[in-house]
Amino acid sequence: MVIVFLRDIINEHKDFGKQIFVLAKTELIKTYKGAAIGPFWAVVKPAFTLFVYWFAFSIGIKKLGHVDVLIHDHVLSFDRFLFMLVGFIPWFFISESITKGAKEIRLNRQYVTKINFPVSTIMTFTSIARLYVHLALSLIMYVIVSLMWGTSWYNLQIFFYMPLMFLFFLFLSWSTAPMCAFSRDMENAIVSIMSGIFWLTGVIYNSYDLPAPLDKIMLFNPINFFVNGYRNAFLYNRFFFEFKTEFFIFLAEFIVLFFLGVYNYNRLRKKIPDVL
Amino acid sequence: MSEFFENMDRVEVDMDSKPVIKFDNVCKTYTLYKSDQERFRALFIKPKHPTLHRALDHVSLEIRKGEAVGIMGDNGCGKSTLLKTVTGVNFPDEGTVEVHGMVAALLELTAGFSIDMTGRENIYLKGYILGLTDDEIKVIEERVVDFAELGDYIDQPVRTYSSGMKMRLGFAINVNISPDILVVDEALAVGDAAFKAKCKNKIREIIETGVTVLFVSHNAAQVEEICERAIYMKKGQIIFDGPTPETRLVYITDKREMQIERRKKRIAQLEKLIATSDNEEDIEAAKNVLPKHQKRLEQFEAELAQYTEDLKNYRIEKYGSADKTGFDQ
Repeated sequence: MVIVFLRDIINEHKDFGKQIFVLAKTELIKTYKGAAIGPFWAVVKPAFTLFVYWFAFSIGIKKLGHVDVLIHDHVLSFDRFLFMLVGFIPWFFISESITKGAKEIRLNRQYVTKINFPVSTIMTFTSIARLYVHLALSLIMYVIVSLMWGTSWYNLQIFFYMPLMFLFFLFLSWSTAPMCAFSRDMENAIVSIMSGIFWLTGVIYNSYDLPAPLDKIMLFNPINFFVNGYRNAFLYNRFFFEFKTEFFIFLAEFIVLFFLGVYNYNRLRKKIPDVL
Repeated sequence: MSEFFENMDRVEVDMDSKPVIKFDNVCKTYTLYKSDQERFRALFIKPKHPTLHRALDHVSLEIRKGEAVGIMGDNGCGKSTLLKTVTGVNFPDEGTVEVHGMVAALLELTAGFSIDMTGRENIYLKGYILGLTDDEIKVIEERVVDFAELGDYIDQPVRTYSSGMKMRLGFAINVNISPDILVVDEALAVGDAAFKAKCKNKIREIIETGVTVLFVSHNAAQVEEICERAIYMKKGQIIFDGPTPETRLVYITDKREMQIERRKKRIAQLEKLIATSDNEEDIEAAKNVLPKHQKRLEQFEAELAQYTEDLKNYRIEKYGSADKTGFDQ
């Protein structure tokens, strides 16, 4: 069943490979054209957000200037700014992917209701556009990290975490985007939930360092997997498989999300042109 | 459009060839949600008593390469749904649809444009969306630019275009991609008179090359000029499928019959009101409009008799008997 469904999605992407990248480019142009500093907004906005949070936590609440993390039975002490920076970079991509990804079919309705178009590629090309921005931000982050903390071979894990993150939230949008095209309530629900999710994720604090059983519960939040994963790669010098519980919980979630995505997309695909 | 389509030489249709468009028992039902709550609920549980609208009701249809087929029918008869199914936007609930070849739809000319990109970039974008390669687009690029007559605006963002300019660009792209199937809506109106004439000529040119044409119109006379075959649809069903003059007669006969029915009902209502009402003013008003209705009814009945006679004569002349119809052929 799932194989048949998945084949539909793969067929939609086949022969459309080049178009996906062209459309991803137009998506970026659409977002940043018409502004004087254009693409710089992609950096300015997250930089400002980061500054505001850093200001509140390090300057405002004076005690929080440093974060202590227990890794390999050693306590590592990080400057709050560096710690937050590495957490925020995946967070920006994730929060955009969830809230915007859910709206993509509705926003691109002209492709759905006017012409014959492989609808699942809408989620792909918009995700790729976001990934371009993420790549640029990651590069800036890496420069800062290498100056403040140094580099190591562990950094290469970014090539594991980044594609996985891309896929995870692409699969999520296979469920959410068709549902949001169907019902506006779904869209509002997702936006409302996301505004709270930030505080339940270890972006500005250390999700490992919570009283039991909260530290275990936090492992079920897949966003933590990526936020901590980026820190594994750039700060903690730890491999993704070293913390097995975290990794396997995520893997299970990844598989469930994938099947749900394939199921929901195919269930709703043919109904979307009728309701949009 | 009439004057442009007279005396057209069309490529002979090979009736033994494989159909390019084939509908086999196609049904399409729209679910109408009463409220946003019901729509939201429908995401998770199937609605128990949904309001359904059947837009296509067991439609079977074969169209061969080179045929020009007109589709007639009133609003809401399923024409648009049929076209959307051919262009691949809609999906049938039951039955199978086969469409072979590239479809150019002169329905949604501006669909797929990105308004922040230039006209030229949009030619490429639209080409990619239609599945063309870079080389193929390069070939048509200059033709599109020439045809659209946008001048220097071709390298300006589409958001600066007037709606007429956007339509011109859309039309230029759609007709220059060398489609196998052309879907034309009567309501198509592009730009000023001169450009309109150019569009009609282009459509005519394309039709003459022997592409398959689907032409939609309320206006039976227009269909007759372009298509040798026509389909009459009513309430999602194909009522009649045959030579255009015959279909046209069936269509207008049926339409008059319905109008006569409606008119009779209205007259009966008015007569009942006059007989039973206590309100003097109402009776007076009803008495005033009644003759008008009766006059229209007579006129419709005369027309119906004429059309029925025409249809009978057409069939005797064409098939040798009034009982035979093009549907059986």
